[in-house]
Amino acid sequence: MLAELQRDFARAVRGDALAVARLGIDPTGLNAERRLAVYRNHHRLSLAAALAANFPTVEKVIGEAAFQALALSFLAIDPPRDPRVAEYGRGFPAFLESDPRARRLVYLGDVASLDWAHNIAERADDLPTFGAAHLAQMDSAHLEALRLRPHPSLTLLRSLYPLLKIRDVAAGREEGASLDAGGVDLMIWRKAGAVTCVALDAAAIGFVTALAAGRPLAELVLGDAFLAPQSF
Amino acid sequence: MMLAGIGWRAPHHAELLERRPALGFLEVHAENHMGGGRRAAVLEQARRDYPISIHGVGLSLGSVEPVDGVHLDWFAQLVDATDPVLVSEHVAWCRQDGVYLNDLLPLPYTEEALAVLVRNIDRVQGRLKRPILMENPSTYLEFTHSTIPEGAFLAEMARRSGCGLLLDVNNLYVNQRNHGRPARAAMAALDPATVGEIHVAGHHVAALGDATLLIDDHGSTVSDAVWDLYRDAVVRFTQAKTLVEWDSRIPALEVLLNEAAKADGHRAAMELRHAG
Repeated sequence: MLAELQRDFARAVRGDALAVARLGIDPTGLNAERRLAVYRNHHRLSLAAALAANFPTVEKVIGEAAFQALALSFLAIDPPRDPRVAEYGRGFPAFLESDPRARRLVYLGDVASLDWAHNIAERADDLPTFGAAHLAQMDSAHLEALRLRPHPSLTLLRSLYPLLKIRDVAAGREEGASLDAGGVDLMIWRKAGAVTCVALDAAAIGFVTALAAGRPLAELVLGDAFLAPQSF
Repeated sequence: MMLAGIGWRAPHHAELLERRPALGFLEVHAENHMGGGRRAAVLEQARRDYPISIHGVGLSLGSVEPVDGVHLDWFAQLVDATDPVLVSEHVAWCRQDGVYLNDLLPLPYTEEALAVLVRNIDRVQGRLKRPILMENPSTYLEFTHSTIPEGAFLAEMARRSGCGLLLDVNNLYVNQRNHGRPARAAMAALDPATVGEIHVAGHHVAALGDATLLIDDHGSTVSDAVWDLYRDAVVRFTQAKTLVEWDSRIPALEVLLNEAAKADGHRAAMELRHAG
């Protein structure tokens, strides 16, 4: 009985008007549909607000009303499956890539990916990182085989559009950005407790991407391309 | 003197840590602080200055579906990390078929719902190895097949599960106005020894055509009618700590501290009156 009630209630909250009649809501003073609408509205508005909090740059770029319309469409097809609202929206960048309204702004999906990378960088677990001191302590056999794993806060983001300029325009720090400015490769992670975002040149992004993919450090920095240090 | 607590909300983090006003405790919404990152680091700072209350909003203990084990593990890790003075959840549900509806949804007050709650509370208390407090909800509808009055339902849930109660007097008032259920009758049905915490909060009065519905939005100062109920509650539930909730349109810290001071003032006045 309670199982059916909760199934129907969830359907009603998510927009199924026919489910409302099966709930046995006491209509005294206000009909069942209007009572249920309080929950439906809260469900929609609170989760649209949660998405807006996770994608602040997207909201700045397109404005509150357009953002809410897209957020509600996303909610209908990809509702949260994690109790932490800060985790809601992993699929939102891909949704924006596919939604015909959002695709009129060709860079919007990438802006969303940048917001999501920022969110990951802020919230990822703290894990011990590997630094030069660790490297100095390793013997040569281990050095040869050393592979590094990316910290969970790290995202590498390649865009065909000038994402940092677009973000600055959205934040009111720049007047305008030309898409002719070209793309950018970004590395976003948490460094000493603060979210950090840097643009990498072609060599650097190649190096970091290969490291993150599990290629041995020695292979990437050595190969046969460098000479031994000269003795003085 | 038992001082009231307030919520630990992002706009106030820096100012609270800087000013360190006298407060009974800080209440943390559990689901906002699961996992690591910057928020965990800031919460650790708060824990040095204040006792912490962990308030779950997503365990969905009213669900027929079993408690999500992964979610419960996260919850237990947060409790271990913060060593809270209070741990609480809601007489409500929010998850169905794995989807989180992000609301505290109402239950019918029936034997079946009572059994579901007791089963789920047992699971949480067993995992945490401590009793939790369960909060009475505010609701905007009632089910025609409810058979148990709210106060009796809460009292029986506490008796069977061994949980304590978090009595939200604003929720009682919202329900009184929305459904004509007397708040004081619900309070009278509760064993004073079971109530470990009292919530006070503001609500919104929504006009819907001919009807009026009170919405529990925690977005304003506490109303006079709710302070009246609060004064009665602190006399009956002398051991209960007080929390002022404010979750939407969050004001300057000063406004919130003023509400907490009001709660302290009401409690002191009632203690004086009853001591004399």
